[in-house]
Amino acid sequence: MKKTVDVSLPIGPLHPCFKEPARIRCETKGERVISAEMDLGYVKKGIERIMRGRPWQEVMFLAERVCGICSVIHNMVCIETLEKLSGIDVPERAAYLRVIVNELDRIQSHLLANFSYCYTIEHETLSMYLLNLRETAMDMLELITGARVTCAYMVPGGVRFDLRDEDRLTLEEALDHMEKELDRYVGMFKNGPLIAQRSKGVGIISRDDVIEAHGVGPVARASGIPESDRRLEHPTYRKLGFTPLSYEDGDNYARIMIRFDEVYQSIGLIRRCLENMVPGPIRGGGTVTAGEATHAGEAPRGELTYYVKTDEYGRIIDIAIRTPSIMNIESCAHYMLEGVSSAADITSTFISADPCIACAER
Amino acid sequence: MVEYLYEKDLRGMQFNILASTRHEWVIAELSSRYGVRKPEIRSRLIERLDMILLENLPARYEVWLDHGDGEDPIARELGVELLTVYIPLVEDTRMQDIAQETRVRIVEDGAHDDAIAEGLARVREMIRS
Repeated sequence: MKKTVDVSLPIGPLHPCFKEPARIRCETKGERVISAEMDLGYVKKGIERIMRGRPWQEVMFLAERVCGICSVIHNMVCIETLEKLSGIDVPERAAYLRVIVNELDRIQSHLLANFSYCYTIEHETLSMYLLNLRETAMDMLELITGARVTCAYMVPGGVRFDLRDEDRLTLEEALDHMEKELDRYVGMFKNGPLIAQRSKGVGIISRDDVIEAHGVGPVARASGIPESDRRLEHPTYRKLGFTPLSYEDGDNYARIMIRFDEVYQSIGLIRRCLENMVPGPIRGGGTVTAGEATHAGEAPRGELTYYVKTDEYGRIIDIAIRTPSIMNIESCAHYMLEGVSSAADITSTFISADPCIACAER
Repeated sequence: MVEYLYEKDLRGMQFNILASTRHEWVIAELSSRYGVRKPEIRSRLIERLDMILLENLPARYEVWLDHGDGEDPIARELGVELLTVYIPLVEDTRMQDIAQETRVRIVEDGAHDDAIAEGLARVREMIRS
């Protein structure tokens, strides 16, 4: 008779599949995972404490250093929170430019996440194609903002640089290129029989469980919660007629496919911005005043919330940052991993949730 | 002898997680609801929850405020799902027993406030134990 043993299986803190250190402690019966717990604390920055007492001019640079992958949205939500508490308006052209840069950031983040997943399930060819395609998005970010990662593109009342006509043409060409290439890669993912075997029906999280753990972003939308998308409440996205996408299955396959679909959606949103954009000012000006505000935006991984309290000189008295990875990693550890039938699926399921330890350990 | 970092006691890191503004708010809410001192709440959270659940505490508390114990006002007042599902600090069966006994007492005696106060006192003891 086949013998089944109970094993405590630690994964990490250092693991070839993890970009950052984290430790998953799995209780298994044979290969089936019964429960999982997470240990963090290996790269804790304490950035909220560093931000306190500093002027907003310093804090806006610190904010985008919370995470290197989604630095643009940290910059955007931080600045929008300051604008909200100070009543600063943004010119229309600047609002569209913010969306363009934010969606480019989403494209590169989603492609990186899907690269990691394909790499984890050992489909190296597809993963390298995706990583290569990500470079096009990174180049466009650099073209518009002047930097690849820490762009500091948004400032209260607008953005720092305008989009030149020649850069606009380059951006349009890049979007066409990305769309064409992506068709091929999505086809590879959809039609790969081994990919489906490793992804479909693995790491399932139900709609109710996502709500219970406050799962957000692609994790929530892959389990049939499209209304979790914070872009629905953003005035510029509403003007663009944004509608969120969703899948129902809640498995690894759905989480990867929703990211692919959102890359197409982001390309469409950038095109609509370029169509709607008319010449005009990109900075309206304004002063950060004393106040208190909470504001949320849709990061590539989901809802990102900033709570900021300032004094009359624009110094940060108190700040709290809630990143989407916290909620998604929790959803993964306590719901998705439960019942996973193979130890090999633990890492792929974890990576399918697009965990960002830098964000979680802000 | 090499001492691996992951074998070290991570309680200091767990305490750092609970020191943020949003966590402080949740701990203050739990403290005032159940009459347990804040350091005791922190200590129980660190003992019973893993680190990612500690990080996710404010979000889970907000979900409970919006959706938890929705249909049952007595469970809502005692925070049955709050302490068993959203922030699992106590045993589910014992919490259900307390809620059931509180319901029975309210039906039999009609002393709603007294029954809830007694139920909360029993929950407090359970958190402390």
